[in-house]
Amino acid sequence: MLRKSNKLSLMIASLSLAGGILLSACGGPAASTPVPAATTGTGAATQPAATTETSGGGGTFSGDTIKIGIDLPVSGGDATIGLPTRNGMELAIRQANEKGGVTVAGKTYKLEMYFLDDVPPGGTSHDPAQSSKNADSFIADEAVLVVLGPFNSSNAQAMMPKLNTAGLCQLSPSNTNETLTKPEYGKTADYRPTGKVTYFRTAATDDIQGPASADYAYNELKLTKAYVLDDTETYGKGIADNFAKRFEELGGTVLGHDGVPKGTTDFSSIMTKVAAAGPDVVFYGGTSSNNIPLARKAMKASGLDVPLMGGDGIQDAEFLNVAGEDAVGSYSTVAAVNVETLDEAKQFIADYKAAGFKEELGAYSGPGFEVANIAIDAMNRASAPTREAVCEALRNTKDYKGVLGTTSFDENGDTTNKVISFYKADKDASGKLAWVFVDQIRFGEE
Amino acid sequence: MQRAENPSQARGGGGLFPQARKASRNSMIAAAVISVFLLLLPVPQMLSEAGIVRLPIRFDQAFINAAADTACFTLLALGLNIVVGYAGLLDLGYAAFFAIGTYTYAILASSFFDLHVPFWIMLFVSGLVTALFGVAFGAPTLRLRGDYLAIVTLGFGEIVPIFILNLDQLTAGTNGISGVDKPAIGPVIIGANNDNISFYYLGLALIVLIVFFINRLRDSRLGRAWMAIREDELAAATMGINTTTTKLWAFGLGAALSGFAGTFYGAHLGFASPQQFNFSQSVLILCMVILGGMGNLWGVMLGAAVIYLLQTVVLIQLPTWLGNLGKSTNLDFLISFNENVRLTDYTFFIYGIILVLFMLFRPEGLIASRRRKLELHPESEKISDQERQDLYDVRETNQTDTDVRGSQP
Amino acid sequence: MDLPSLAELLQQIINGVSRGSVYALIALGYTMVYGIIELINFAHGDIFMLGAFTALTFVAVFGVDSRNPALHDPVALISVLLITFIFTMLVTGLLGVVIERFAYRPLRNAPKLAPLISALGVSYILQNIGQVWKGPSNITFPDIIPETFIRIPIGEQFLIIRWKAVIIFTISIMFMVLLTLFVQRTKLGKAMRATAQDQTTAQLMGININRTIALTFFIGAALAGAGAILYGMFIKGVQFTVGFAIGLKAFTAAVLGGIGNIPGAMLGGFIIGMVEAMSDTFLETRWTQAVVFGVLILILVFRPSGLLGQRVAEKV
Repeated sequence: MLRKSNKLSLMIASLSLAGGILLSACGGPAASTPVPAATTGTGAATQPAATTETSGGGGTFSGDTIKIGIDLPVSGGDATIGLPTRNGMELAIRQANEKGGVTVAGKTYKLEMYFLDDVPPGGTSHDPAQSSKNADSFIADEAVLVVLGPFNSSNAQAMMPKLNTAGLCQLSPSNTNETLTKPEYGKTADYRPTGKVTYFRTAATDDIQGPASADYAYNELKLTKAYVLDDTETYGKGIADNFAKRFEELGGTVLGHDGVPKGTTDFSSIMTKVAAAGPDVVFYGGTSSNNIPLARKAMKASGLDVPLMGGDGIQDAEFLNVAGEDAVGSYSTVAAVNVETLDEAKQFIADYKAAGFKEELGAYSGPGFEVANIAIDAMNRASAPTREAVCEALRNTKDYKGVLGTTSFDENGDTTNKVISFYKADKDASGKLAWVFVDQIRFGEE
Repeated sequence: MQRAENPSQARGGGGLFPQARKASRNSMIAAAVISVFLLLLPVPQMLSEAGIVRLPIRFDQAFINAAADTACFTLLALGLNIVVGYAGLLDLGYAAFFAIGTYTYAILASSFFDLHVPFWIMLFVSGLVTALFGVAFGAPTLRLRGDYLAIVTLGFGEIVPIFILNLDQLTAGTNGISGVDKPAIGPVIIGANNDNISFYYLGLALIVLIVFFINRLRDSRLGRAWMAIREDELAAATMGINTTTTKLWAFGLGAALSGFAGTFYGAHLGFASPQQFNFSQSVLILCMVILGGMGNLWGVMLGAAVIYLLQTVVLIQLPTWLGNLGKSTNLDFLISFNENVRLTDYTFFIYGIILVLFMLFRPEGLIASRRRKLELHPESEKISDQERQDLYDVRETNQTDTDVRGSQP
Repeated sequence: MDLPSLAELLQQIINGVSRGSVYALIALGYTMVYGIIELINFAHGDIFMLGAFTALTFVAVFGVDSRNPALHDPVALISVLLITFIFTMLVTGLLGVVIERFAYRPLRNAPKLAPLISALGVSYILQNIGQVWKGPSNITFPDIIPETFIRIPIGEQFLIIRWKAVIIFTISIMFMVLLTLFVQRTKLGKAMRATAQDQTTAQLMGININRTIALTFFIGAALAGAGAILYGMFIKGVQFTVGFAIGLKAFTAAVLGGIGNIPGAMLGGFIIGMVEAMSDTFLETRWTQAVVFGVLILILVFRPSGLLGQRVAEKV
């Protein structure tokens, strides 16, 4: 009985499938029309404020709220780093709205956050497939004029081709993988099908931060024997590889290079091994959320009392909070002029504390705040409330002064801000643990 | 191993056949309705993109994107169903085969090595590669029983992503392989310009083929051998079934399906990254199989659709939907709830609650396998239908746990 | 690659043993629950995580810290430790019982894999509770016992033994002995063993199955709570995601030793700790996880019921 019914339903299924293929063949050309024009009908429905006007073509939308799409990982293991980043963005949007919103071509719009998590529930970390879906959601909503995020380079790899095809610009606060933007690595054709630059970022790429740390360790701190660790993620491994390469070029010795998978909490055996090798500096590429503070504690417990160096991924309160007293003697970098001295940065830190977020300020709260503000600034400069105009304005971002210093975008969408500042974990004047500014170097060809 | 089934299910009354006939007519109608629905699913989106209609509700590419990936996960669930549902081998590392499938395609059809083997050939190559891995892995471990096999598969599921992560030369390591080819029919590239609709139909077509194949397989000599082993390995062996070969077939075929799915997934996403194939992914596919109804093709497919869409569309978009609903209806409590409670922080909680409640209320799955239900009665050799009925009656009137659970093996 | 020196090797053995002690304690919970109802309790690791959070909250409320002068008195220190252990174990134990009551007991007659999914659901719920409760970041676990070392000179190097490692090892061995005595010698332990063997028959013998299973969950979860305190003291930081990773290792340990077998779970825990430490030493850390599971697969291929597990006769 069952078999018969299954057969029948199969027949029906396959027959109707044949019809469907025909249908989709007809629908094909329609589906590939440029998306901004195509989605005029869909977004307006979710936009209660949208007017009744139906003929707004060419990707302009007719509401009085502009949405900013945000894609970040905020659940599972990535919540640690995603939530403080989102708070930074939320703060920027809130502040802009308090000032009345943005003014595009003479009309004032309120801003709204369209936030989508890229960790599907039940997953353990950021999922590129989810980011791909989120990108489609942003594209479909015509009120979304710009996208912030993603946090992870692998998610960017999934989002970039989609957003690029749709002509929707995105700004990442944290992606550092150099292959995303720089044509010399030969991947940009995959990410930019249209050839236009629609992806911008404020973080210095791994091929700048890593070598800068190597320069500083070898030339300034006179350290010659390094042990390199990374958290096996794109950022951590990228920065660690670049550090090791440069450190050896300078004449230093890399005693060993090891990946420590994220989720590791017991660093005793790793640090015993590192201590036995006898380094005078440990470089650890990765983020605080991947337990580097615990590694610092384990270093001390293993009797390994040498500096720990890292990138901007450990320049946060979490590192100091968790490592506590043991943090003293660690170094980190930030790809910007000394932010502590900037009034904008001080103001931001105060505002963040006043805003009442549950999570403490993280390493990427500032960059999150910054990319949101750059996007808002671009909207204010845009000639029309369209994605294209916002992109154009973003490409023309020049000397934007914010919490990261002065930002301009080069022809690849990378920040021209190539000053690397060095910080040391130490007691500040009031006796509190802090990242104290020690030095800065300008890095790059020029 | 056996548990008594849910009493309410057994109380349908009468013998097996009248019920089955009735169900089959219903299921025929249901299948027809569902297939028409599935086929027409993207049509509103096409029409709206062509500018023919304005949709009253939001129906965008993101949804079709999820629907296309649902097709991929349906294939995975069908594959795992062969291993878990038919052969009764608990596999907690199925994502490993999925990973191998995706990476086989990504390595051989991307700009990474500048190899561009066509998608249609790669479907079979990936299927073959994963099947070989399945057999190679299964050969030494399949003599393990029950949960020992489960933990060994779990171990395999942990090892494979580590190899993918650490073999930089072959897999691009942590950076992942980008620029994975899209399938092409002649000059037409499926899924060019972000189009998910054609991928959706491609997925449907694959499912139809696979379902047809599995349907035939289930009733074949091999399929019957699987179920015999699932019920009683010793008895099956006594009947002359070569249990090792039969189990290996299950492992190999199950793995082959994940090869198809992986190829599809890699092509659709255009990207393969080692973080995508961890334990939680294995568990997700297992959830689909169990929640849908182990051993039942339709149940498993429904389970895959329900869970995947719940995860990637409903729960991800829920906060936004609530906010929009609040605004469009001007319900202040909804707006303030949405602003004060950041619902995105609670998606795991909601997902967990749904899983638990689901299992409490439908432990046998959405559509339970009738055959499995009949097979899984405790002491079914001894107790007749009527006697079993009486037992349930006793249990229902007397709510204390008169445990009729089978003895432990 | 240079071969490690003797001092380093001994140091790694110590590292492995102290790490293994924590795995072992948690593995006990897995093995007991599995032994009695054949459920892989995915939520166990998350109970462990909530145990750590409970302990550090409790300790903070009472202002306990190694810098607290009152704790320099050994009597005060031991009593504070004792209270913390009792409180945390009670909380996690009750949590275990509640979970069993609402998420697993209704499914006792359901298809075998249904409780597995329910356990997963509970795991997600607990994980989210942990995240909302303590935030997503690592939190420092206060030093209840001051961090002091024993230094033993070996050649030119020193062998560093953390006092905490000694304490962790002692406490976990103590728990194992107590648990074994409980299961082997007491009436309740006998009831547990009977229930594990055959629930129907046990019930016919007048054993209250529900109570026995609840007790098993209580003990298993309480041990996870104890493990959480030891872990917290040793690692000094806890995060809401830690349950998953540690739980997976502990479960592996339980299987390795022969699931359902109490000394086996301890042995499995120590072996996994040791394999990890050795893999970190002789190989690279990025391969360690693969080595652990590789060893597991190999051992199970040659000893299909784990190291100490008995070959259960097949049902005929």
